[in-house]
Amino acid sequence: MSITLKNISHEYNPGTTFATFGLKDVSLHIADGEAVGIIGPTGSGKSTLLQHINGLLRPTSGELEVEGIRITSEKQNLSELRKNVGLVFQYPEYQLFEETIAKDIAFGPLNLGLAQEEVDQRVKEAMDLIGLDYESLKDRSPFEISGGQKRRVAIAGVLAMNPSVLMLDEPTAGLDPLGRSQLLETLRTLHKTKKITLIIISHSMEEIASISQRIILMKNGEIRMDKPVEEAFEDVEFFEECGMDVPVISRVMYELRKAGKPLSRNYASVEEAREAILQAVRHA
Amino acid sequence: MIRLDNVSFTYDEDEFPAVDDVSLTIEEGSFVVLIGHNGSGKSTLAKLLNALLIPTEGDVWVEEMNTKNEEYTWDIRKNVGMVFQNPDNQLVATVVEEEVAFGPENLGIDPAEIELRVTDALEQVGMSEYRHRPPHMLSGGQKQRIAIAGVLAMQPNMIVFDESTAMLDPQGRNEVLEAIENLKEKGMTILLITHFMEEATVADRVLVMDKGKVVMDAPPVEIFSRVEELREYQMEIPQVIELAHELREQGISLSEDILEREELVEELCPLL
Repeated sequence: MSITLKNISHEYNPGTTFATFGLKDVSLHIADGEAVGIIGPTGSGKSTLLQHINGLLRPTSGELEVEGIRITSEKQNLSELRKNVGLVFQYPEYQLFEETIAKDIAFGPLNLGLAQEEVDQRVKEAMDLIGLDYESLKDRSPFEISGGQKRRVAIAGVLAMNPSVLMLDEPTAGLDPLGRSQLLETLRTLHKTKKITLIIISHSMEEIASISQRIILMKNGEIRMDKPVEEAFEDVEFFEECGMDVPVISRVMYELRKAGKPLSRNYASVEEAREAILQAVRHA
Repeated sequence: MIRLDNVSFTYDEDEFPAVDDVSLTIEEGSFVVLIGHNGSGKSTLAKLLNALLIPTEGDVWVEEMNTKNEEYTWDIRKNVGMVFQNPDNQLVATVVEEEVAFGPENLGIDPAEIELRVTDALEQVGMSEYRHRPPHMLSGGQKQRIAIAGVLAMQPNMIVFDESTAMLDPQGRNEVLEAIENLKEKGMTILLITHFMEEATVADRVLVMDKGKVVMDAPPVEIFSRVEELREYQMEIPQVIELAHELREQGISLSEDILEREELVEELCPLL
């Protein structure tokens, strides 16, 4: 199973004076189990893209095939698709509403018409995957736990649907540094152990570099760059042109290289940069 | 000037104090950054500064006014303005200029004077051209700048920013930080509460809170040289500083006071 978009365009308010393109002729293939980071300025079409992949929006033209289901501009039943493709919105904890954490997470699976036993099992598994202790938390109110935990509950609600694709829109926005790094670690583990396809939108280049195998840059509804993470930050001028910045460590590497220093790549992680610089110093 | 003498605050339902025996002085015109993870007590501390909360023990003095004295509450709030995290929760009016005029109007200030204040406040945050626009059509960064203008129109001596950049995209964050730095240049006293450690590098002074206490209080250069200690308090080290630290540990001679990317590049160049 995989995700294929063929010449997708999406027009908001078509036929009116407010008509704008949310997506313009986007083609894309995402293989099973990939971890893809999507970056771009606000309003570049990142969220619109995710909403197409789980069928919340239909394309104005073009077609998609997601996990074996074909989506066009025609109306169709997409409940099967939404089971397979989970989307976690920005600030998902605002949508928590049940009396207990377990009930909140169970809401989706119950709606699928699963038996209570199966639902309980899924709630347990989802909490386990996202790093929430089932026994101590299941009966507590989702409103009396910390912001970072609330967000995990919201993500667990999506995981309980057993999706093969998990998409998250700014999953760490507003969390404190510890909450951010813990959630990223959980997502990395989830990707590795569950072989789930991960698609993440983030404004933080450092974060996106640390979790993605592949990086897609969007601007004005178009895909402007699509590269493996190792090559994504080589063209710093292009990022500037798009009104974006590369990760701060890549910028350090870039400036050293611009000064003629013998370094081979704009590494994004502290560890890679440290090793490359140490090697260069020893050879100097 | 603001002074805290042995201030503690415990919420009604809690066993332990959210702010625990804090004493400190914030000097006129200084730019102080307050960091700490969630639940460290930083927002509670901020609310104690303008009488949104009253200490359960100790005293908070704002320009020699004790926040415990209800007679002073409004003078204190005029003196210490606050800008919060979510721009959408702070905007009330349908036109930007009305939004900015809202505070001074409530104080019963003369309309001609209000007009001057609104013009000046919008100018200071670079939002003059949006004066007649509806606030809800603005970007997050623009909304926060309007919120700042609304506070400026009250002519405070100090502004507290309580995670005012947390919900913004990078562009919005930069806009707001630029507005804050402009205010600092003009001599405004600023307390910036943030999760983003990089924002602390431009401060005069950095406070780190943990479990209700101020556990570190020093200029940024010193704070960021104490990498292990910061890690203990679960603070994130800005990556440039982390890289410099790790290179030093590997025997590369780099000075301890590297905070910014440019400084690291400049020191590394002759070594490569």
